[in-house]
Amino acid sequence: MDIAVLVKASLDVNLVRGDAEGRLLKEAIPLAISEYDRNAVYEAVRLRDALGGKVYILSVLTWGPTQRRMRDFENVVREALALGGDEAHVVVDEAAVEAGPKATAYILSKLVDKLGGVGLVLCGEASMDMMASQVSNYLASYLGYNSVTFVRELSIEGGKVRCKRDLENYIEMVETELPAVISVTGEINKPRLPTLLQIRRAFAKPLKTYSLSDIGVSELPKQTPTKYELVKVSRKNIIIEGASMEEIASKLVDKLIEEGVLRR
Amino acid sequence: MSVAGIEHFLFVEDLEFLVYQSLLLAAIIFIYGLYRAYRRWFKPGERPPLNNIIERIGNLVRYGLLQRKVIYKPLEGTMHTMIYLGFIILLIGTLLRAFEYDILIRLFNTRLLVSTTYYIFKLLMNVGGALAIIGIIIALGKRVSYISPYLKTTTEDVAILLSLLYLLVTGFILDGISTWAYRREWIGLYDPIGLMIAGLLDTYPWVIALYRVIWLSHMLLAIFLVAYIPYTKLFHMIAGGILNTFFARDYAPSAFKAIENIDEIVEQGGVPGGGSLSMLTWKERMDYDSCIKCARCTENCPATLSGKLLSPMDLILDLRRAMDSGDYDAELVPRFIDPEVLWSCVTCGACVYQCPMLIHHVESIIDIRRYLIGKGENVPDEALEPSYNIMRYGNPMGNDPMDREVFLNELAKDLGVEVASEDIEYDYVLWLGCQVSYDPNNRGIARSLLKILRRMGVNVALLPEEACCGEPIRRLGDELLFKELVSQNGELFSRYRFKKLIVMCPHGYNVFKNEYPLYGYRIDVIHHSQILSEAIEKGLLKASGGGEKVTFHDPCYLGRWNGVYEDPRIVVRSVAGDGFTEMPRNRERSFCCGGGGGHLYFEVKRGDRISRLRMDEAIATGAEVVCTACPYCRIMLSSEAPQDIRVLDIVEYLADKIGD
Amino acid sequence: MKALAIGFKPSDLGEALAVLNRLAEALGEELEANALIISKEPFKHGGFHKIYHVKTASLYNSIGSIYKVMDDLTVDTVVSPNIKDGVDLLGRVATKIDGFMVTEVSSIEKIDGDVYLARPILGGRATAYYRYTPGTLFTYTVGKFQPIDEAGEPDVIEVTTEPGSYTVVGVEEKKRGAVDIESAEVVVGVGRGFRSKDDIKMASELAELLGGEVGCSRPIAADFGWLDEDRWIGISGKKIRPKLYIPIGISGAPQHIMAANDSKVIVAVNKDKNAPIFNYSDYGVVADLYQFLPVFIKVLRERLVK
Repeated sequence: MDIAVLVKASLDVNLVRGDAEGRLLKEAIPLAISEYDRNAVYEAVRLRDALGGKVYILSVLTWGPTQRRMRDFENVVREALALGGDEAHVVVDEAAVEAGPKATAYILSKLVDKLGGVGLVLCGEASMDMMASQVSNYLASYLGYNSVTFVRELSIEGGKVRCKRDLENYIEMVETELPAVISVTGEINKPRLPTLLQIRRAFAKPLKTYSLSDIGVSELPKQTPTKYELVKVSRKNIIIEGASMEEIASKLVDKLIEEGVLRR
Repeated sequence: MSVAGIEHFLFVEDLEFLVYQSLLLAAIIFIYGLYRAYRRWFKPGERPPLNNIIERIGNLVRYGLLQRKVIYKPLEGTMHTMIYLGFIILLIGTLLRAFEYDILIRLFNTRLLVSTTYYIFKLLMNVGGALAIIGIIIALGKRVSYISPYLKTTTEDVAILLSLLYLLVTGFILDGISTWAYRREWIGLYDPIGLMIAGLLDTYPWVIALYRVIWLSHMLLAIFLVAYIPYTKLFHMIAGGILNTFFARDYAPSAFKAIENIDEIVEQGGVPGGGSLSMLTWKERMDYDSCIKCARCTENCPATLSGKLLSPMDLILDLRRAMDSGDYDAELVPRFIDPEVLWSCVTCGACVYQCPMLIHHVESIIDIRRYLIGKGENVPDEALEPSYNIMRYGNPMGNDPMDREVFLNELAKDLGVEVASEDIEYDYVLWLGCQVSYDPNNRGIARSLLKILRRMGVNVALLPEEACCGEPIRRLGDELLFKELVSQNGELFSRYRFKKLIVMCPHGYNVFKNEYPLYGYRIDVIHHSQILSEAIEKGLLKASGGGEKVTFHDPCYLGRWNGVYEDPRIVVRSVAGDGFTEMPRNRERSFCCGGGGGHLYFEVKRGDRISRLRMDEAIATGAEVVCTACPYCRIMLSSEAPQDIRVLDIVEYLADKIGD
Repeated sequence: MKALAIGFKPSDLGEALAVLNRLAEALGEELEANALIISKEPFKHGGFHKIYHVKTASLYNSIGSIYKVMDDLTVDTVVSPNIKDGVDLLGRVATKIDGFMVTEVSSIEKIDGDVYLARPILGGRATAYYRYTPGTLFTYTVGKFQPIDEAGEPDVIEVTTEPGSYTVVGVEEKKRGAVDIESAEVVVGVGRGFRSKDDIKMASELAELLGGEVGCSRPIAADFGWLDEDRWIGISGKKIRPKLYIPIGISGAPQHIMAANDSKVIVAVNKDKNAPIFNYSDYGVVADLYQFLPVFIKVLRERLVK
């Protein structure tokens, strides 16, 4: 069974850049693999090793300008390949930049069609940068596949997939027929960090880049934010200092009483 | 007999032929043993190197024959020297005897051991035998009294000691009977022990029969003990004492071996490093057969002493056992070695320093780690983070590279330090390094140093960018990334013009000085303690104050690995004066802070923390300030320091006391 | 404006009403709010025109029925609390009606005559603004809108359960120690700075003293298993909004900060002066927790008893 894994080149949330006026300088933020997508790749590799087939890494570059992002983007895709993906199929097109989850899902559905369909699509429960958790449902709908979200454990048996959905208060066991799109949580496995050696090897694996017209997409259902704003940290950021631990502790207790958060 | 001399084969003329037959058999066994060892070490086509022959002979003499690393331990050193010296005398004596009988008498009908020569010979043989007996009794005493908890005693250890003791005692009994038989009257005090034994005998008829039995057992045991040297622990004298000292690594011990063709290996789908015995070098394999199980490495290993799974001696012996299995292509981990053993090593080099056989334990540990990292298996998750962070952020902690830029600008603004330009030549460039650039607690080291250097009028600049020097990931075994960082930084250095690179971190200092040359980049580096001590000696820097009690913690990569012990002490003493006090373990015997070998970035959660043990030692000196000369040590020790003890780099301590 | 609010538990409806009121107010329109309750037991809340009830606790058993309700009502928007099932459900509705949706809306803003749904992105370090147009569905961040209690007893219309192409095989309770850190007034957060499971006792002692609960960062629950998962603060774990949050030995990964950023006062204790957590704290103590905690507990005990 072939498995497609959706991998996002997300803005690196550890390297958020903004200017003094509170504008988000999104073009200055480097790209990094979206954390939960690593779990998805790892799970796909596990399933492939057990069931056979191929693991396709699918990605759409959604942050521009695409020309300047290509190196970062390829690194992300190679990282996914280094985790065990077999080949990568990616879409780079200025029109896909910040087009929103629905448009991204639409593009991905055309990419899956191009591959002739797959038995299973896996993705992370959300991307690190946008955290929208929407692509998987849209994609399932476009492909006519079943959709299961927030899965922390899954097993496949005879055309059926059994999932444990990790909800806030309990775990729900769900069963559905393949093909399906499944979003996984960070708890599903513990992916290894790839080493340079594995990444080097991944350079030997096929990576095919498509434009929107290559996969027959002309119109996109876009939903782009009108603006972005840097969050002004509203915290006080006071470091309590003192000559001794006693002094620091005592000063801190004063502050907490001042704030009215101590139960007296 | 007209002159004093030996009566050869007294009472046993009829058994003489047995000696030659046994010797022939023994020679076959012995030579086969050597051949077998050769095959254990060298793969077909591999040849031991014979370059630097003078230096190699020097090592052989210094460490092999003169046993420089054996003798410094009072009890064990004395014990070993007595046995070693005793048997050397006895061996030479026996050879002389054989030479006289088989060559001089047979071929030339003349003698050597007569008159005065004979008297001296006899006396020396007495002394040799006595020395060896005392040595062996000490050794046995040490074994039964468990003086060292890490010294394990096997049947072989006891059997060998008892065999040697038997040889020595029977040797004296044979000597005594001979004296009784023909030289009681004239030997005098040149054979004190023989004479004593002879005095006990009378004209008993069974004395001759006893002599014959003892002689036979003595002769056979002696010959076959030698024959079996390559098969027993006695092999340490050949494998370790002679070969391993002769073939010892001839480059800096802290420059772990390079894998020049690593790119090819990876390209061809191979995994670099020592995954199996056949992937290790002949030198590493020779190391494993050189171990004499003295446990000095283990007794000084911070991992062992803090309750981790690693014991360097046991690791070497496990690898020897792997060789015994004959399966040179089997993966070593986890079949022969628990991966946690390898990951527990802080690469402090205490084992390497201690080993009398010049075994390089850490070389093997890193070699095998390289394989594990390459495979991505049997590696603690956190141990992969530094490499990943370097690829993504350029530093092993995963800090925002912008933080360094901000700090660099601060230094330029506050202290007026120049950021290097490619067009200007500088005397020095100061390498900040990741731990000083990113850790706010360590930034004071750079500030203090730059302040002092600028006061001294030193022409120094900072580099606008730095990649990680690669030290932590090289210790963790990511050689591929290391090689890439070497070319990245090498290219960076080549763009700027400066005479020397000042490095504040001994890890960086070592890697630039000793390991970058392995991949073709030579950089003239100096540690800041060296610049400071020179300035102090020349009277350019004067500190006042002190008064408090200060101790100094030797960073492993400055001290033990690179021999810089005095410079930082000169700096500390210039301020502290009489307040300077040493910790019990200092200089070569210093105890690691626990942060080396990549352990700043991951932790093996077992037993005590090494940093805790070291801080306790510092606390026990009564010091109010613990100085070190390494940001790694500073981090590790600060995290354990009680409130009333300050942990400072030597330059912070100095800057404090020379004011602005 | 006609809207449908999804509710999973009674408190959802008051909050949904607040969200819809705010939206209608921003748009300058009259509100007709309807609700769909997905719950074993029905519940009522004033201010709603109609309340539908699907008698099930499971999202997958109710998917079919929500489409029926949607056919029954022609609404401009559907809103749900931003819990996992809410996000999933609205996602499915959005695909069904070929509409757009926005998740985790934390405020509704009117700027230059247009109405925007604002949501945190980049681990809470930035906000993205989406223009609201009728037909946009959204989930709102729980705790961001002051619930509205309104009198009234609307009729409850029972809807039959109609599952989609899924089967719910069963439900498993999470391993838990009967704690609810989401509603705790004080939370003490345990991070990797703690060196052993045993040392967490110090944090428990502090939490008890302050009348709060112990929470933790991801590695403590997921990797080390030192605490149950229901104490794990993170976007995949629990989101907290106490009056006082004290993260100790937690460096502050984006996922953790996002889940704790609604706390009123945050006091961070960390050895590393550079730890990101300090940027998200009101008060910071740069110290080794092993040195600071015992003293803090002692001082606190003296001052609280006084």
